[in-house]
Amino acid sequence: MQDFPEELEDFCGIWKEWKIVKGTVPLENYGKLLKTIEICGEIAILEVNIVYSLIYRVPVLWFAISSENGEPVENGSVEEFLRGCARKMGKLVVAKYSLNEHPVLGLLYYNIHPCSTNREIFKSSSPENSINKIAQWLSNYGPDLGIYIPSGIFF
Amino acid sequence: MEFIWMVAEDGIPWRMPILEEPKDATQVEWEPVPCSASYSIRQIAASSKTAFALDRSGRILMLVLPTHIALRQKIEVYVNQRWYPLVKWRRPLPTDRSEYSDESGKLRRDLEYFEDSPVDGWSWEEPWRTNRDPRSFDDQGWQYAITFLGANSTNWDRQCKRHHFVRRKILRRHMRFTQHDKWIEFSPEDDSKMFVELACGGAEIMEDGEILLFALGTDGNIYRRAGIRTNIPNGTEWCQLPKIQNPSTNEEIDDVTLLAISPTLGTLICITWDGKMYQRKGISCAIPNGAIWRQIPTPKNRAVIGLTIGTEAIWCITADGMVWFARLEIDRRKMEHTNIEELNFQEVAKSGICRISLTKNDQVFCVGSEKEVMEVRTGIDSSEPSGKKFEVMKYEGNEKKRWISICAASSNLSNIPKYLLDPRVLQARQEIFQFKNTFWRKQILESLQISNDKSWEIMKDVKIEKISDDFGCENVERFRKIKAQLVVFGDGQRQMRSVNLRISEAVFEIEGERNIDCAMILSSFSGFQRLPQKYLLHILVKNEAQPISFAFTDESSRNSCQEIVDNIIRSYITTSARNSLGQSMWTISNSGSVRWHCLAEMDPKFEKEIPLSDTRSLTVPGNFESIDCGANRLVWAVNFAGDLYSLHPRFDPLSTLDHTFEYRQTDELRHELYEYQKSAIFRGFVTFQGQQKGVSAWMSKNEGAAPQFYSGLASKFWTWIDAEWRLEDSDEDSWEYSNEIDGNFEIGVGKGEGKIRRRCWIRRAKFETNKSVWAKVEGPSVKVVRVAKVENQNSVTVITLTRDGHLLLRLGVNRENFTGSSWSQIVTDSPITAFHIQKHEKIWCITTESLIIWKTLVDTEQDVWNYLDMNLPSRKVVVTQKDADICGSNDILYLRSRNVLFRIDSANLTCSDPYPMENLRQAVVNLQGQICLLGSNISIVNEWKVMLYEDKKTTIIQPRSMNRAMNFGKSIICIAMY
Amino acid sequence: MDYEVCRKVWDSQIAAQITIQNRDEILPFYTMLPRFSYFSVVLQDILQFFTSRDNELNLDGEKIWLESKGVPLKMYIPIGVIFDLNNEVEGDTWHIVIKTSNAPSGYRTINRETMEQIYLQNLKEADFLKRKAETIQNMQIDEHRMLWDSICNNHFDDFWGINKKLMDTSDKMFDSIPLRVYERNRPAFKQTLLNPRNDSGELVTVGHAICQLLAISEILPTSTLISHGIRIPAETPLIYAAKNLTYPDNFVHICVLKND
Repeated sequence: MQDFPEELEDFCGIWKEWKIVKGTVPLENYGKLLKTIEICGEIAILEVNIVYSLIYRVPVLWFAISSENGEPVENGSVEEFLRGCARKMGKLVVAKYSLNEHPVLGLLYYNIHPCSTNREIFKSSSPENSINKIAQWLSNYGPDLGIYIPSGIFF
Repeated sequence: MEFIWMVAEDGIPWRMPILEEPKDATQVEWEPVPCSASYSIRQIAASSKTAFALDRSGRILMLVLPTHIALRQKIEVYVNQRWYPLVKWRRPLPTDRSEYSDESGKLRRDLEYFEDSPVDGWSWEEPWRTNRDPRSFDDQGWQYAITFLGANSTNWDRQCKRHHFVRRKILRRHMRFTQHDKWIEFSPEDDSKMFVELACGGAEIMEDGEILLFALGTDGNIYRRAGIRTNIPNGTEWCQLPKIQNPSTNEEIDDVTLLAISPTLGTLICITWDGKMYQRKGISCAIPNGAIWRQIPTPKNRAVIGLTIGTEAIWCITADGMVWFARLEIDRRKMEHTNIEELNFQEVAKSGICRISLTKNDQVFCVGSEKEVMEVRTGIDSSEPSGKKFEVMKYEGNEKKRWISICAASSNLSNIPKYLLDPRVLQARQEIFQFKNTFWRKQILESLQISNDKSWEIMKDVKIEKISDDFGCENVERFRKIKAQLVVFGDGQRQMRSVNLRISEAVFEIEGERNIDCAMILSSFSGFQRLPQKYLLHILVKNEAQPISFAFTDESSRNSCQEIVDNIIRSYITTSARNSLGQSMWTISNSGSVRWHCLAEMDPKFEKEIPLSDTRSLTVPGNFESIDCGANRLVWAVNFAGDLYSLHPRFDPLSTLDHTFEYRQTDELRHELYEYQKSAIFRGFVTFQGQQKGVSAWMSKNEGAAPQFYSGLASKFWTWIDAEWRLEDSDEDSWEYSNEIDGNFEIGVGKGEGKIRRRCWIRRAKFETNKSVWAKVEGPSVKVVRVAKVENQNSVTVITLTRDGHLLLRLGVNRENFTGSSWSQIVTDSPITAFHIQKHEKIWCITTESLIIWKTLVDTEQDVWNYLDMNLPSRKVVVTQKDADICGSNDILYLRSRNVLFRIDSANLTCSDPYPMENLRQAVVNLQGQICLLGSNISIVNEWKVMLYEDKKTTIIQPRSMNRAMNFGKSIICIAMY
Repeated sequence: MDYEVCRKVWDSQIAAQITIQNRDEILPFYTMLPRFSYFSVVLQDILQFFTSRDNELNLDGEKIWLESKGVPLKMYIPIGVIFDLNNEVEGDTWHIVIKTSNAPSGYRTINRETMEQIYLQNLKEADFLKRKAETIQNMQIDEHRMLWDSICNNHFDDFWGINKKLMDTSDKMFDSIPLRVYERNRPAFKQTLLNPRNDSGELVTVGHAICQLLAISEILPTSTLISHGIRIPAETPLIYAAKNLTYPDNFVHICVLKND
């Protein structure tokens, strides 16, 4: 998906909560979102990054959850959070995720496994399909993390 | 090189190389071998050295495969002269023999006849040379006699005396076959004969180099090509076989259509037009034309249209398309098939094959009838001799062609290689070999080694430094505990006693018996005892004549114990900080195991020579019969089967670091087991219990008493080739008789005479390992290898003596390329018994005629041999062919013949009296020029006392100072020194 | 599989000296660390050594972190890679400190189970690159488990018994090669799609691949390519490295270092 940087700019331009963080080359730009969430009654901060994967050639969701004082939460809490998101969608199974090194930051973040990402969305590059590709993609995978696209801004 | 030959529909022959372990696909690619455009081949018959192709017009072509040993023929012409007063030596009288003749004088030869290029495919090597053997000819090459009449070789004298009136000299010229690997005309001298069928085989019943080639002529006769020899590959003439006679009508049968012969034995069968089979009985080496034709029954009396004969199998195709198989039984003493007339054919397949050919080991290659592609029969082995199914060979070129003929008889294949059926096999290997010798891989390996070593060095230093500060950390003495049995000799008998061994770095303790200081342990060697079966470990200790022997019931315990002992020995050698250029010796024991001996250790700053009896040695994996070591620490060895190997230079017996080498070493050994029977009154010959004069009822040839038909083998590397024991002579009368159990045994002294009889059983075993440190060097079967002790520019001279007495020089040998690159023959006129490389410059040889010759090694192709003219009047140095060595340093030569040593000074032309030594079996020389003798002991002679007789030609020799080791000579069969 | 090289690579170890922060009275632990393993795997044994020497010592596996020369050590990158990236090759041991103070932000200590998951995800990524993850998806779960166990327990034969399936190219060549390149000034490695053969069908070398990855025209003579503690010749074919110079996660990890 060669046009990831452009699509990302468009995306963040429309949905202003997402900020672009520039990398050393355009393909290393990623989108960042900070959101307050609740896990088992406790407040936590969810940081989500949309990073392009050169290997899978699709965007990948990287995320980290920390408590209010900045400490990363335990694995159990992360699991609980994701289960909650899944329940909301009516799914029983949590999305596949694990820790790994963030491709740009070089730190440990969680990521949703991209191996099952449907690449169909990115195949078509016809101008008729003018809806932002990242938005299309996020509409499918965002709910895994409780991210829902505000209605009307993209389609 | 082994090939399977095929002919495609377009008349072009193809061949497929067969390799056991091909490195990649290119090594086994099928290649077309076209004749010139005018020929269209319809059939090929081949032996392992030559292929014969039959063209549609009836001509035969021949292709001689490339050989390391040149094919040469010697042509000799005698020049005869008579002495006349006044004119002196001129041509002989008309009543004498002609001026140029053969030896008998009867045949006239003309020199012009020999001027032009000889027969097609051959060229002259050199111009005419005079034979100047100093024992028979004078320095001009003449020998003299009184008269030509009645003169035989003993009347001719090299010195011209007054009563000599005739003289002769021998002119000699060699021609060499140069048209290897090309199709040339087979019998150009006889263009008239045309043929329609060929069959070639009988390799194992004929003498070396001869084969049986039969051909069916257009005139309906069957011919055999006579006179085929190694150096006359196309033979000399056609012999016609008598026609087959119809048994009932006695008419001659004229319509033979097909010939088939076994590739190994002399079974020739032909098929007539009506599908009947006839065997030519009685073919043997002495009677190659056979004796008589006999009809043999066909499978269920059906008409046979295709036939192939192997060694233990025969396959045929009948007119209805059915494929049949029958087993062949062999009488190994007479080397013939015994059940041809009662073959029990079994149906294998209803159809599917139109042409079929067997390898020497009964593997089937065939052409399918539907698409005419090449197929093989998979699953053929001793339990299923007719195999499991026909499979198409998965080779790219196979299905593109239609094949009309196939010949697998020149191949030894005993199972179908995987790569013929699955191309992926080659691809995987290709990867490994593709990169093996690249510089970047070598760099990577070296860097990894250095980096690893460095890390360990750091850790070692650190440990040593810090641990001494570390109080509270005990110096835990590490030791190993092993259970074994100690072998003791009591009352002349071997007894075993269970003991516990406690081995630490400093002490080897046999609990309850003795403690041995580990610094005194010199070497360990493994052994195998058959009755009762035990795995043995012998440990040599300094100053003790007899080794301490332990017995283990399983091989792995013995091996672990040996490893521990070897590690102890290793640590003591390394702590003495051996000089890496130090002297060393390699030995091979009578069980084929190799040991490296350290002859010099540093003590602590200067290199000190160790007395031979105190040297330490380590076992090196491998199984060989002879060995030699030379410059640059190169070591080459020969196994019992005659294969040549070179030791990988990075292997260091002192290093325990895991250099894993993955070379394949094989060997083959024939186990011989004698069965003894005593004659008892009224009962005839019966087996007996117990022992008589050290001989029991079942005795292994080399190992003493053994269990009947034993199945145990000395180590895990050995497996049996033959499933069972079989008699060497499968004959009722193969018993040998004698009156004394330890006397001479003779065959068939007459049953009834002789109180003891015995016969010999044989079983073959093979040795195989895939993690060997020795790499095989391809080439002909070798007897002996020698490695020069001095380097020659950038390479080291390595020469081998083949089993039939030819010398081959291995080119391009150095540490980077330790197996060398190619062979070059050092041409000699007669076969060689033994040879010696002087420094790197000269080679000395003893021929089978006991002549000592030498030449420089600069130009191996030129025939410039010099004779050592000893001019000994009465006594000649006679050398036994089978048991001789020659070695030396500078101008001094040592010649060993059996147990006697001669010292020859080639500069002063003196020869010593024979110096006998008990049980002397080998003499070699080290870099310093000292001679090392292998007898009951191993002795290195530092200096000889040489006294000259009055005739100034003979000397007496005595060793003045010797370095002798008493404790391990007996069980050694070969030594090499540097 | 080139046995000689693979074996040597597996057997490579680093001499290390481990001390505890602010506890100078405790004698250092000298050990050899296997290059192919991870700190999250070996940490357990290290801690056990210290606690067996001194029962009073209380080290919380969850809270401690590791540091060398002032730099925190990542526990999820192979030990060999970390060493190559951060150290020149010296004649002394690698000095590692077990820190009990608060870890710097963004740094996490991970245990063996978590590491296993990270390892498996990397393995899948490598196989995805090589052959669209077909091989690894067809493997059983105990084979995955066995791979991980043989890394934890240093079982070369067990490991390669299964790993060779992931390295088999007898059917067809790999689609692209798993290669990760590290440089000192970068927080994360770089990787991209790399073909083992170029347009003319020749084998791509490691040098060319790295140039392509880092978008430079050539490897400067002042840079060296280090993996497994040795200089990798730039002429090494990439496919060879992919089969014989990988770490257990099936990636080739190369550090590009500038010689000072």
